[in-house]
Amino acid sequence: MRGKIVGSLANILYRELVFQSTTLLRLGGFLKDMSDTNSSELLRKIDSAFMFNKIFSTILFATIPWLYLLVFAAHTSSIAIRAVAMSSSIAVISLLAFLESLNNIGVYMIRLPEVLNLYPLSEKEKLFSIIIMYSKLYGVQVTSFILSSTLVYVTVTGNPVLASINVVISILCAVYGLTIASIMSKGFYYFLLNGGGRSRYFVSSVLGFLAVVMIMWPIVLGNIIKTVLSLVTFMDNMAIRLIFPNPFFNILESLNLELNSFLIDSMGILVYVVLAYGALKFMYRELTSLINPWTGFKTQV
Amino acid sequence: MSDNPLLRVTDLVIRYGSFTAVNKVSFQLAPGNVYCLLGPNGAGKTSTMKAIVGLVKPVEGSISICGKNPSTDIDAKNCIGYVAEDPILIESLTTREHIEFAATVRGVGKESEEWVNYLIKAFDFTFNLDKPVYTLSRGNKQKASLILALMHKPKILILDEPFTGLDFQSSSILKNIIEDWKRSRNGVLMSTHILEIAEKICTRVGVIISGRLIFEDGTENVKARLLGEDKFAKLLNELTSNTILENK
Repeated sequence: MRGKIVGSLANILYRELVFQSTTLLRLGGFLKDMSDTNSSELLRKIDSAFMFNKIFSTILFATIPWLYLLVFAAHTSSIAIRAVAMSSSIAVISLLAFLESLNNIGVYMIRLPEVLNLYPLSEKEKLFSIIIMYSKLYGVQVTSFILSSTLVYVTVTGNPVLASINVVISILCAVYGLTIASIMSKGFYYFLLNGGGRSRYFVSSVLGFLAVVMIMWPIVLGNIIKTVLSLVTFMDNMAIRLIFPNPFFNILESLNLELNSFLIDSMGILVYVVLAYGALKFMYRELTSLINPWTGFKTQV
Repeated sequence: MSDNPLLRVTDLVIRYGSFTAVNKVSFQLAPGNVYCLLGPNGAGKTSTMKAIVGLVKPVEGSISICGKNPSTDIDAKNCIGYVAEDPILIESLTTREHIEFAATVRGVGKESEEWVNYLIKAFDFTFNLDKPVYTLSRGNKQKASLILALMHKPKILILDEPFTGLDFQSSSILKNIIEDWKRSRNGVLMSTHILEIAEKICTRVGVIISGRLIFEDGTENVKARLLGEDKFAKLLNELTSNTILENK
């Protein structure tokens, strides 16, 4: 594998993705009319705007587990820790899905498969370029969330086992988030391609509307979680309370409670694992189709 | 036909969902030939080319490029230079950055500097070299795409409607380059829906309609055959109408 080429391609793709995502809502309407100086200035501004965006989203991701801990601090630590796990996981899925789907439309817009398959690059080189590109986009944010939430668990429980389970769950959250986003953005992109709008102004309005909806989504979802949690904490069976949002945490406790709870928890974990397997499989298929459209085609010489 | 074609396509089938875009298409490109895929819009010319370049997944058939298997041998990509109908460029990059990246990936050394500089000058592109691609016009994007496809002197040039958007001078330069390619025993696969272009440039023409290669022959025989049969006369009418519209 040619490391220098992989690094350089990842940088090019990252920069293009940032450019396409940032100018997405404008769809190039006025870009062509800009002078040379202004267009170079625009590229510089886009770079710095995205850097600020990255810094703020990193701070947000790192703060989420602490915010939820504050919200649920009034409950017993056992309930609070589950509430934190559940709420922050869902919030991160939502946020990742939001960030990703906007950027992922860019992945399709930059014609990634075409760019990648035009040049003599090995599958390994293409795969690593895409992975580095995604890491540059979300690596810092996701890492900050994992570290921050792990720290929350260690602080509240002092239990390193829970903390390490949390790392696994956070990675699962990221996979779910990316999968949901890929499906959404792919569907949305094809909606646009297949006559989702008759003019670029219509398309621009639809995109703007959807951006607002998606920005609101995590906020609305946060409120729903808060309401649901305030209701479920009055329920008697603690093992069932948080089983769906987070069976991983519950199973440790349900072992000491009763067999039924333990079985329900185990089923919950199974469902999570099957979903994660499906999500990973989907992502793998997406990646391989980006890397080599010829996958599965028998060529002869 | 030579025994060792530069490009061999056999029984190629491409489907988009339930729609069959290309149906059992077979042809060969011999050294020193310009093979034209001639057909109306939506006939399957672009899909065929995309499959050869590796941008579309065929469901059946086989492809061989310079004797190599393109799905397993990445060197096959160095054997081709591709100009898409809609140029494949990275919008935020300048053409100079594209050239530098392509040179690194394709292993093009300093020895090609003179050739690249010739192309830049010939297509009158010096002034646009450092502009981001998104600021370029359709014609200039086409020129950038041509420079990138030609810079590594590939054995096979694959040109999808290459004259679209090009000014008169650049069209004439491109025609000369195609002639040079032919003379130096390389090959050109070109698509066009304009009969006039096929007549002037190609040595062999394959007529493709609704995803099927209806017939192929030497250029001199194609027009005669098109005129000779009713269904082809209808096609000829369609193709020449397009020519008139294009010229307008």
